[in-house]
Amino acid sequence: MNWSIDILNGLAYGGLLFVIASGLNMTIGMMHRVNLAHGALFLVGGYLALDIADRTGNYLIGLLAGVVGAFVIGLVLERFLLQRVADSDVAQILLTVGAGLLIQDQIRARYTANPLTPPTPPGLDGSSNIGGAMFPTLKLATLALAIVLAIAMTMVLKKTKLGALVRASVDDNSMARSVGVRVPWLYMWVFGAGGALAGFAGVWGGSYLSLEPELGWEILLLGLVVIVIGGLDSIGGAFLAAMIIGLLTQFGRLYFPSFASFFVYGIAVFVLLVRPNGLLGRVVTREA
Amino acid sequence: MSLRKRWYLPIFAASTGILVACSSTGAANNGSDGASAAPSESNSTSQAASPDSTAKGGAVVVGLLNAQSGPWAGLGGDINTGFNAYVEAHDGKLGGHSVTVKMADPGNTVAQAGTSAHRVVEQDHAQVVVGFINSALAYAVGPYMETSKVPLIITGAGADGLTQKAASPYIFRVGNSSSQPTLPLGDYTCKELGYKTATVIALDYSFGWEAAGGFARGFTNAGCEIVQEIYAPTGTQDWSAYVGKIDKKSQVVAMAVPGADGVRLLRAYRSYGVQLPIVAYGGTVDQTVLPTQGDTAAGVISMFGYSTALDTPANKEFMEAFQKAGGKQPNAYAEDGWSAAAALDAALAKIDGNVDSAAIVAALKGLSFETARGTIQFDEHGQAIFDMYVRTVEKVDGHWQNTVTKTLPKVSQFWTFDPEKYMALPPYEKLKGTWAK
Amino acid sequence: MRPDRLKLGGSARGLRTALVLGALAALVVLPEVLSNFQLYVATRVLIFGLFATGYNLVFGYGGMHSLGHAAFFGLGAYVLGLGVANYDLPATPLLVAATVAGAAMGVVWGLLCVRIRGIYLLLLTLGLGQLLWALASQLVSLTGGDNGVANISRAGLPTGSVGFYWLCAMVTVVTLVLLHAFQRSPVGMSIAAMRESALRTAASGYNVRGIGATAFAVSGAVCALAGALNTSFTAAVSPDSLHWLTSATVMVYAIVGGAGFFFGPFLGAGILIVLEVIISAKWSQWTSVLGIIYIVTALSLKEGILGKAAAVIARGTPRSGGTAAAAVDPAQVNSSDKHEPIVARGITS
Repeated sequence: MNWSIDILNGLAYGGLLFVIASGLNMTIGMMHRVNLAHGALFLVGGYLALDIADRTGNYLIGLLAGVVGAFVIGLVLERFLLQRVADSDVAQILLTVGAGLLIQDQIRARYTANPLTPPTPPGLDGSSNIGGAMFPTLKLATLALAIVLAIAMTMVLKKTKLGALVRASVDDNSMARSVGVRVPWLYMWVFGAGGALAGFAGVWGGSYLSLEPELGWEILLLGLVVIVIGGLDSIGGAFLAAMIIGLLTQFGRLYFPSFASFFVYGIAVFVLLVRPNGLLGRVVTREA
Repeated sequence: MSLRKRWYLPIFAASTGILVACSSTGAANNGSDGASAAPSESNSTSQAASPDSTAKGGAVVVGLLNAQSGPWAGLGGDINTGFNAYVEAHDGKLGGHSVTVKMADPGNTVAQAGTSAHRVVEQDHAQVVVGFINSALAYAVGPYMETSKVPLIITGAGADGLTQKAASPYIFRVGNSSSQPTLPLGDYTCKELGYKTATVIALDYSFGWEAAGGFARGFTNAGCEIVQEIYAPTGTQDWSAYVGKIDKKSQVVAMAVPGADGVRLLRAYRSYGVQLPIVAYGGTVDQTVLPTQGDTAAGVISMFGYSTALDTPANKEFMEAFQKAGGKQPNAYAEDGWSAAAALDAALAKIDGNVDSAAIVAALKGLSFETARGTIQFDEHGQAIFDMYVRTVEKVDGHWQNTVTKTLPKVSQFWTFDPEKYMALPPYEKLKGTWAK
Repeated sequence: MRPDRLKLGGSARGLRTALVLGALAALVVLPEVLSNFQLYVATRVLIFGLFATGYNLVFGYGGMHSLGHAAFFGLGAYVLGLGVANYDLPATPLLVAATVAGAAMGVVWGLLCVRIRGIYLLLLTLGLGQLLWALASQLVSLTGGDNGVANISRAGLPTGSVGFYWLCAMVTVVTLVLLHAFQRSPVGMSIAAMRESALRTAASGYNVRGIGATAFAVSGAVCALAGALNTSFTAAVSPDSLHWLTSATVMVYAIVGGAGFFFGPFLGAGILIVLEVIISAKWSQWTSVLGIIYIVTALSLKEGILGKAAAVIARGTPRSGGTAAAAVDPAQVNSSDKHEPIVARGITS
């Protein structure tokens, strides 16, 4: 058994998981919106890209359409719907589940439930030769993308003024308002960005996974597992969690195949029992 | 303030209106809303009372129960469209009797499936019920159909036991049982294709165990050897671990992995450069997935009861009718729906005058009829016997299809085994993991 | 509901009594007036209403966001199903056994979950539930795997549809009365206290771990009982009873009806099941309609149907009880700002 290839496979799957979870990291992790429509936004991105790329024959236009489409839906969802129930978590659950059901059912009506595959990013089709073994180029690129994405998200949050505003607004909403931050406006754009990331994951990950309407819920659950294990608002934590799940799943499938259906949730339960705030979650003892 | 707060109500009304308009194509909800045979109708909370539509003078009510929500909604819609397309193509008449189709959604839980079955039987007075893709729901509802003495024609649900251990005089199935195509596939792979050792890859649930087990039984019975069994959970996103495990010394890989998993498996198989030839349960490369599988499926040899590439007048009629009704290419599941209607057409033609469930059961028993895939005959357990097609995936005129290369006539769910002896064998779920030497 | 009609009750409390009596009367009359199928739907509403009410002890009343309660429902379902099908045991003791099993598993979950809140708890319970689901799907020789077990006899219980309705109605009424009494007992009150502030509850000398385990145990027992009834009702059990979508469904029932109210989840189950029956027969795209209903409910009835009704009544009639009564009465606990947010950065440990 070639260990290095297995490790690379596990890391590449982890990369995919991080890309899937990145949007959720913003909407749930940072903004604390209970966004259960994440999978639907993923699908919107993927299906739009597929459709537009098919019509125009241009991958980049398709990608752009998918990302912008998911961005706009995210924006609308936050500004016109979620902000009305900002004070009620349970209403947010109901609202986003409803939006998810509606979007997925409409996708099924429009595109059928047959699996469809958005185009692979140009140049990443086919396989590369790694130490004499064939390895899909797309998977290598996904791992690279996940690393770039994690670094970029961290930089934006930690180093830019926008990031500072977002963190301030989430930490102390009323204080941010009182110093003149237009919080609803800011939230709208951040949620839109989360939607755009979900849409991007749909385009990129869709070419890896193939799309079907029911995939939305699977994506949501995988994303939840990653960001919660990671520690909710920690990008580094989510990245770490994604890599751990990727590697453990890969080796679990190789050596304990009969338990394959237990892996992801087994890992989630174990981590939460040992570290109730996730791997890199901040523990702030504060009365709600 | 209150005005501003209620801005969404018109949106709600408008969107509901649009949905109703959109969905009218799919739902063949002809006729009344279903009569309530309640002792008193004045106070019914959930049902609008309407004129009694119980069959009189030869009219027939069919309950159509394929999933409209949940994970099986896509295939459920295809089966329903196939069934309705047949009824429509025959001017709403089957066997000379006018037919009312009542649809209900079994969803994906036994509670909802039970509700849908009770609805069409007790409220709509269906004399026959057609449906189910999820075998668990078919198992759950079967006994109720038997106590109600209403026949059930199963469409997509494949569990072998439905027409073996759980067989009932009231249960028929037009689709294949899970192992029905793979028993002859194993035999064919060993004897005709000449591969002596095989690795089996299947989904890790009862369908996969039965399809893989059927292949293994057919293959080993013909004197060849299974060297490896690989089972992966449904919804496996990354198949690299499984593909990497394949024993490169085996001469062929046998797959029973339908749906999106099949798409992902074949892509991983090709991109990791596995060179072994592939034989497959037909659903792995069904028309539902083949267009998106494209060249990753090239050359896959599979066994199934149907192919869209069948060049017969009956298939042409089906393809055109489905295209018209569903706006897309049909697939084997849609053909199950079409065949269920064809079965009813043939059965009802044998009934003169008043149609009741008992008459339909009697007419369906051992019935032989023509449909898109060819001739179907029900065996004594209610399972369809039909020709199996050996198919090869190839590109013809720019479209991927399963070209039929050979026909195995009249394949039964027991293949060439003796039914009694076959059913006495341990079930496939217990044999999982024991085939590989 | 028009406010002026509701005023006739005199006070909100009187009105509630009137509504409960009305519901009881309706339960008695239903078998006389409903068709066979409608009674079938009514029975399903009773079972899932019981499930939702049991769930809400943890969710709305306890403020612990569980997305894994299908595990209890499914556990009860399998205890009865396997007991009857595999071991030929009589159904009545199995109903009790299922309840006990649910309570036992509830203790374990409660102890595991007590330090964990919000979305972490959501995921932990989801994970635990899915592990049980995977187990039931894989232990084929015991559970029948994904095909489940069918044709489960109702021997020992009423076999007719009316008789079974009566059984479900009686079990539901008795359980709800006991549950209501439990919520008003000192132990029950401590669950509500823990929802408001785990730290302060602990500081007041309560055993927080014990309270969490008790909440899960009682809730688990009720949910398992509902699951066992459902197995008898459908004569079948399959892993769908353990699946997270079943957990999500019951959560939605609770939210739509009003998770801050004792009868909210029951009402939500009733309304959504009846809607499913009506809409799904009319439109093949009824999932979309359901989605729209959820969105509109979330926007217009933030506290669920009963929350809206209570607000309407409160506007119409001056409140009779003082704040002390409000603290005692679970039906008045409706302000979500008191709840700990699901997604919170600070987790107290």
